[in-house]
Amino acid sequence: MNDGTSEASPDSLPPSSAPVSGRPLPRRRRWLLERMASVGASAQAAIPGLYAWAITVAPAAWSRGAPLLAKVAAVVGVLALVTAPFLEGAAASVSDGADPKPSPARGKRLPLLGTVRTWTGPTWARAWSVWGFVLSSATVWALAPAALSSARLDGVRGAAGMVGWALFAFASAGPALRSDPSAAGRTVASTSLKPRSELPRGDGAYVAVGVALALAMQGVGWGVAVPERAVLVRLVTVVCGIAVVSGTTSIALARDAARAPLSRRLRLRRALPWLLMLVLVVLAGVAVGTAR
Amino acid sequence: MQLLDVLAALLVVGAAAAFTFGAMALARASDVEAIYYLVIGIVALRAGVQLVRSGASV
Repeated sequence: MNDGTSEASPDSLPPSSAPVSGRPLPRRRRWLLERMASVGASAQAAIPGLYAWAITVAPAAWSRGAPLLAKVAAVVGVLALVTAPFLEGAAASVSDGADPKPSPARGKRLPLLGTVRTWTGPTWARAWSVWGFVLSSATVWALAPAALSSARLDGVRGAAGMVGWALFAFASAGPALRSDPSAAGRTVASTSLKPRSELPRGDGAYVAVGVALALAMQGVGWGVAVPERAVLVRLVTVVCGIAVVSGTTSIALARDAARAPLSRRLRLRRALPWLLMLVLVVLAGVAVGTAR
Repeated sequence: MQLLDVLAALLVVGAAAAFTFGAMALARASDVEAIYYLVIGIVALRAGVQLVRSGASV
């Protein structure tokens, strides 16, 4: 945000890959972020494509009785998904600064070869991603049709595969999500951001103790033979663990409270009903145990 | 750290121990004993939190 005291000149602005704090990122991390920011449509489609491949294609290719050609086709499908983003990125970097190819006039049909010659790098990448993956998957299913029979295909897996293919189609058909080019102009170089208040040390120790106590509770009751009681014990230990973590967190937060701390007498008075109840319950238990 | 803070920490640890004993009793099918320990744990935990809270109403 701009504080209005100074207007940053374009020369003083950090590069788009630099953080707002002005501290330079490590070179390898910056390269990775730049690569992630420049992904195209084929890269966005690769994730759901790999998901659909893992659910619907790979089990068929490596099912019992599937030929070797089905496995080769499945590998080709993965290669199409994985290599298309690199093809798209390489073509985009080559075409940067170059004049765009003339687009065919509307309503005028070019011959097939002429149409193909007008394709740019992203178009080739999308064609390789979509058709390479779809045709290889169709080949796998044609070579191993028994893997898709209702007797061998689980219903949930089939539904998940449908969702994966739908997402792949949606991501392939949609335009690539581009970063806002004007976003870099809205950032203002400044020093590292500082918190409004410093947190006191030791909060992590409180939470760690609470987590350790909660985890220790989870070791109880694993040898219960009756399933219903075993589930009840698990439920009780989980709830008790959450309560202990919540209690230790409350204690840690109470140390950081900005409000004025209460006096010792007032704190004791406020906790007195619970302390009395605790003493009464303990004494009642001791009395009942002694009477038995 | 004040004395009440130490007492609050002890109460929370005691609550965790009571919860553990309650879970063990529950696993042994001693339901009354389990409820007893769980009640002790709840009350001890609440007392510990109330001891350290600052400024808020009861």
